[in-house]
Amino acid sequence: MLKVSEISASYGPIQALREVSLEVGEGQIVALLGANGAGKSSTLRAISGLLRPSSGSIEFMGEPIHRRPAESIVSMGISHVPEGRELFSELTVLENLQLGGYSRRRAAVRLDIERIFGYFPILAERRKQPAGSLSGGEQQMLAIGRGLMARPRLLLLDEPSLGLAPLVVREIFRIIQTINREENTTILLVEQNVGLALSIAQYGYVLETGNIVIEATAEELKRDETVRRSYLGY
Amino acid sequence: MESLGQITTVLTAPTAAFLAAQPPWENPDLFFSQIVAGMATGSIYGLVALGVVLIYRSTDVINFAQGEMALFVTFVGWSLIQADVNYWIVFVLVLALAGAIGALVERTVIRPVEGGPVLNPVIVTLGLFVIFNSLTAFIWAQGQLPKGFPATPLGSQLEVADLGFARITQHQLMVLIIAVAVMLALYLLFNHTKLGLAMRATAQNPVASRLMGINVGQMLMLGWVLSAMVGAVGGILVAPILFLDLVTMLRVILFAFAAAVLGGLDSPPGAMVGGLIIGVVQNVASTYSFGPVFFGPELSLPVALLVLVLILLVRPTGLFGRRAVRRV
Repeated sequence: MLKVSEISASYGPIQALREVSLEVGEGQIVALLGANGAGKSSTLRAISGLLRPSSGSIEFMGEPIHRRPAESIVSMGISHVPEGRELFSELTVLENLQLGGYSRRRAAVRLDIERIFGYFPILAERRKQPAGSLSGGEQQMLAIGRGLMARPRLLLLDEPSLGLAPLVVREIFRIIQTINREENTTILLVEQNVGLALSIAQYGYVLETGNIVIEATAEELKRDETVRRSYLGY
Repeated sequence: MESLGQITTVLTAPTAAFLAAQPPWENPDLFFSQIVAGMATGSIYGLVALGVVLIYRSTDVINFAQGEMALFVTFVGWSLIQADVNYWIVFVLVLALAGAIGALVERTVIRPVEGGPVLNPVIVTLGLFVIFNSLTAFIWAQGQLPKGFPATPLGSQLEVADLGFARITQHQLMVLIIAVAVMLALYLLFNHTKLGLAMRATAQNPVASRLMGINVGQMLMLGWVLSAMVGAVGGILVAPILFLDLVTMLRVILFAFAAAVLGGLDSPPGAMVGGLIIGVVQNVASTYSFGPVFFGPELSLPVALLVLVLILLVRPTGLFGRRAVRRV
């Protein structure tokens, strides 16, 4: 479904990605792992069009997308829930969700908002509140809900567990799995909590300083000596 | 001996004015008329301030050329009126031209300096100020200035509109009505349309907006278009009152910036309220004495700015602003 081939990208003089290649199959949950600054977020930014790769190619459903601007990629079916959530903090929960469906028709959007409230009932209660007034967990739910409003075929999730209480994290990961199973939404998941990510993913890649160093099934990664020592800590 | 006479004149003039100025309760009709007339002038400041705010809140750029862009298109309007074109057609054409200039300016000179050092857009808009002022001078100041500009056909500048509690000119009444209509139209656009929501989203978080599929460049350009159009409405409405001159909009833009800052710089309703407050203060200060102090029309500008400073001391972000809190 998604095929990233040897992309390199940099922020000014700092090279963020060196010939990164990865593949995500339809219906899968694929984890992208690695330490801080390894290039996980940059990979997602390159896929969603926020970061233009200097070389290499990205294909989605057989179509090259690496030259398209971010605003036209979302309507192809890729939705990016960015690092730090990037909500419209002064707009209400409802307005944030409406913006998530910006690339779609208005009538369809209205129905979909109810679908999101089904996943995250707390958002329905807070619908008139500014997004900035929500708790961290609620904000993450809103960020995911906003991403789903575009009806993506591929959802890019960047650190959904960051800064959240363990109970909230478990709830969010449960919903991510539900979305994957029931809506057949493919998910590329960036996560620092490696154990958690591998518990729901089928396949994983490990990035180190802009390079993919290991790729394997989740089961193999959990057993892998290096992964265990570097990321799982046992 | 002669110099002594001059000193006496200097000293007696304010005293005479002070004696001439009645306290408000002796003539409530005059008092309310001054308030409403101040609101009319203030709503023009508010419109121009609104233009400043629309651009500032989406790009953090202060458009110093806001007034001069309006001046230029209002002069074009004057030429069209001299050519016997219908007033309302002129009105629409001037707005369209303003919008086109706004779009052109954003695309050609603002976009390249966006995201660079803070001072760059400042220098660019100051440059635009000079360009539009000089261009206006070059085209129209060869003849005689100032030039008269007609009030709207709906309200003469010379006839009185009696509101019962206040008497203002018909044109002042029209100014108030048109300013409210413009505010209402913008309110509906921003709060009840998908386009308006996208513009507000862009102002807050351009990166996230792109991820939603919003064309951020288009939204920023549209902001300049709206801003220039609102400013042009201000220009057309103030021209019959102040006459058209190279400094006409200078007399408006100072108060408009004050109004924008007073309202909080990123709040459209704040710009309008700020404009009204400054217009009213200016009018009241030039009519009445405060204890032994009479400011008169000459000192109405410093008085209005004094009110601005006092309010900013209490509320540094302006009446409706929130932006500065986030920046700390």
